[in-house]
Amino acid sequence: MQRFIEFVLRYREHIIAVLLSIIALALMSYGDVTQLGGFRALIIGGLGLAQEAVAWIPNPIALQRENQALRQINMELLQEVMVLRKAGIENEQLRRMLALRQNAMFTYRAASVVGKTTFRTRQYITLDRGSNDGIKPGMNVVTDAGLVGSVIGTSGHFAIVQTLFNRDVRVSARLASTREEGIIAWDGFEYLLLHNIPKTHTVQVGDLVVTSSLSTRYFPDIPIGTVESVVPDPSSMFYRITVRPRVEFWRLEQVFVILHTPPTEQLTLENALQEFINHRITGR
Amino acid sequence: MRGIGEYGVYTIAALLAIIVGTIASNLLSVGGITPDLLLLVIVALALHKGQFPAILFGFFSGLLFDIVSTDVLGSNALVKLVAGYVAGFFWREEATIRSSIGSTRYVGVTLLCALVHNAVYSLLYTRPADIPLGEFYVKNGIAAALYTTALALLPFFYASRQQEEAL
Repeated sequence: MQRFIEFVLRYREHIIAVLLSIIALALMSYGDVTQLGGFRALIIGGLGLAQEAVAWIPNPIALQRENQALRQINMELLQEVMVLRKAGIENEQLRRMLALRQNAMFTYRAASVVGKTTFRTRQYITLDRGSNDGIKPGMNVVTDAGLVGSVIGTSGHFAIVQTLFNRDVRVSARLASTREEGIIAWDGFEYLLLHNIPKTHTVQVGDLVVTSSLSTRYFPDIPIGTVESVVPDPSSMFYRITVRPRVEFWRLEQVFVILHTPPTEQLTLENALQEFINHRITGR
Repeated sequence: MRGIGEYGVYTIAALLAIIVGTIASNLLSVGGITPDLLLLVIVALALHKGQFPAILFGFFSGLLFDIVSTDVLGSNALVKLVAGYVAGFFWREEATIRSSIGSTRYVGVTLLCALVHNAVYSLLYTRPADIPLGEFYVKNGIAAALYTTALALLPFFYASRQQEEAL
């Protein structure tokens, strides 16, 4: 016993390092901070207040970039307005002709970005609207350019949004032109990757990528980005498609939260199936 | 500033590092790269107090950082305790807080720990995703380590000047 105690005392640094590493790994496998429930809402509220307090501090480099980007967007929007006016008139005529009822529009809640949190390129944004404004976890967040991400947590007055630039985010997407379905994931840097598009299909640089109707987390047909490059992957039957996101995450200031959550029934069923498969694999 | 008082100072410094790193990360970010302020505190504590307290401090401060930053629970706890473990090998028994931070060793150990810390984090981060580890580490790990080391120069210059004045 004496020798054991001496051994522990002698190598206590290494022993404690191993034990704490095991605890940390166990915590990682247990899940993320979203499981902390009410405590997390408290943290989100506190963070939101603190970030709002420092939001007035300007970042000159970011402002300059933002100005350039806004000018560019302004030009593009002017062109789009002209096209849309024409399309709107045509659409109106066609609707009348076909006696179609207007599509039910989503209800949007405008929100300001009061905080941008970057942890080694994993990005979250904090909004100045929370559960008191009807915002709930799971709601989609968009701008005029396209999809930003989804709400992952709320407090009374603030909400945290997980952007597409995140390791954990996968979005069911499709090419707007060919309706080919794939999965969007972050490439770890400045672009997104569209997976699972077979080489047998034709994909053009510049093709628009939108959310798919197969998605259980995002509403369909929200623009995500445009195809930047298409390279056949020699090790698989799919292309490696790089997508340039339409939303410039670094310059976000105003966003819209879609005040509807995608239907959860399908997601619940799929999660139950996934859990069942995991149990079968792990034998637990 | 002895005993518990010294640990109190490190605890306050760690809390400040977590708060600043969380709420002002966008202001500190350069090209998407952010420094690790908490790592500076852990390395200072390791050089001053030794490996054992640095491991414990790294683990618990990292855990707090995970909770505040909404990162995967346990990920920062692991990498921060690894950083404390590595930095602890450079501890000297006669070290004081000024001699620990006011020495060029502090800057060197910070760079080493930041490189190791970011390597482990990159491994954890890229493993479940389709992100190339090497490329990710070169861009984010090394760049972030250099940024953190550059910030370590501030307490280093301050403490070395204090040391000179004391002599």
